[in-house]
Amino acid sequence: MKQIKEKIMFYINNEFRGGLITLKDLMDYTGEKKIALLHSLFELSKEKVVELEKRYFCPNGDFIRNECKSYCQECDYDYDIDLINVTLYIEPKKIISLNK
Amino acid sequence: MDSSIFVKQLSDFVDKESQLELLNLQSMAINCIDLFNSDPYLEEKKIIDEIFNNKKLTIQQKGSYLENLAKLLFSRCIALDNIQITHYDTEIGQIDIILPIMNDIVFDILNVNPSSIIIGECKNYTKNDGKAPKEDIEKVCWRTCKSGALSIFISHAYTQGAVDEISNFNANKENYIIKHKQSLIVPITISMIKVVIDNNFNFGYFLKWCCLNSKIISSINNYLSPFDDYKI
Repeated sequence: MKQIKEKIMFYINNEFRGGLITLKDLMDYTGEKKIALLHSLFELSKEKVVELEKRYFCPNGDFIRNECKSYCQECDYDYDIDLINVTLYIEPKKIISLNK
Repeated sequence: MDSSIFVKQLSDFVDKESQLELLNLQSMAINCIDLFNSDPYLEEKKIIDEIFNNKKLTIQQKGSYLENLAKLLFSRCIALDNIQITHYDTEIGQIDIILPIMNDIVFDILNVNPSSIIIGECKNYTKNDGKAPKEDIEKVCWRTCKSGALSIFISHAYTQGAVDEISNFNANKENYIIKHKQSLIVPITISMIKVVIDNNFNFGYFLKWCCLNSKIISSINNYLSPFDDYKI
């Protein structure tokens, strides 16, 4: 897992240009599977190196902005909760190297 | 009931979930298989086979095997951290397994409202054919209520009183809980776990199925007796 954490930190230190990082950004950059990345991200979050933000999306891919996570404003439709997708965005908190 | 009915139920559920996930491949949505390790159940298989087949095991040994098995299974969830088997009293009573959460996305994936904690209890009863009694479930209701937990209870089987108590709690908790309406009791049997291990179902899908069917009155109740072909 240390190696994956190093890859994530390398990305943050060298490629990050502000805003939020997506899981896809990290998967494309590191070539790692989602489960392996998430495991490392949870650790980095615990170490307060990154903050993980949850985002909900309707089946059409619209970002759900309100607190009721089943209602999509864009579609004006209250979806079955089973159909709502959740993902995580990554916000770097510290620009550090794990090797230091 | 024969275990094949439960296998069919779980297979259909996993198929449905997998189809939804295929639609979401591009969206980077997080699913059960992204949070729960799908490696083969090697160690777990050895333990469950011991529990079912080794007639020389004492009650204490069986209980200990069961706790270790639960620890291994829950360790497959990468959003849980430092799972501990405890034998000491906490402020909400004696809990067998504490499942600390690293990220609460696990509740979204299991489709339960965010709880504060997950607690696990593994019971190996000697009386009533190994069935969990109503009195113990009443304690679980109290603990679940007080802590707002997602409370997972593992036993060989359940008395009718225990089943009714769990159903009543899950169906009507909003009426008498003010602070922790999101709490949920999820009953599981050891033979359900054996089916999961023998058929290599991802533990996350199994938990999601259990949570879903615990929320729907009576849905899980049909499965809370040992399967005819899986009796210890």
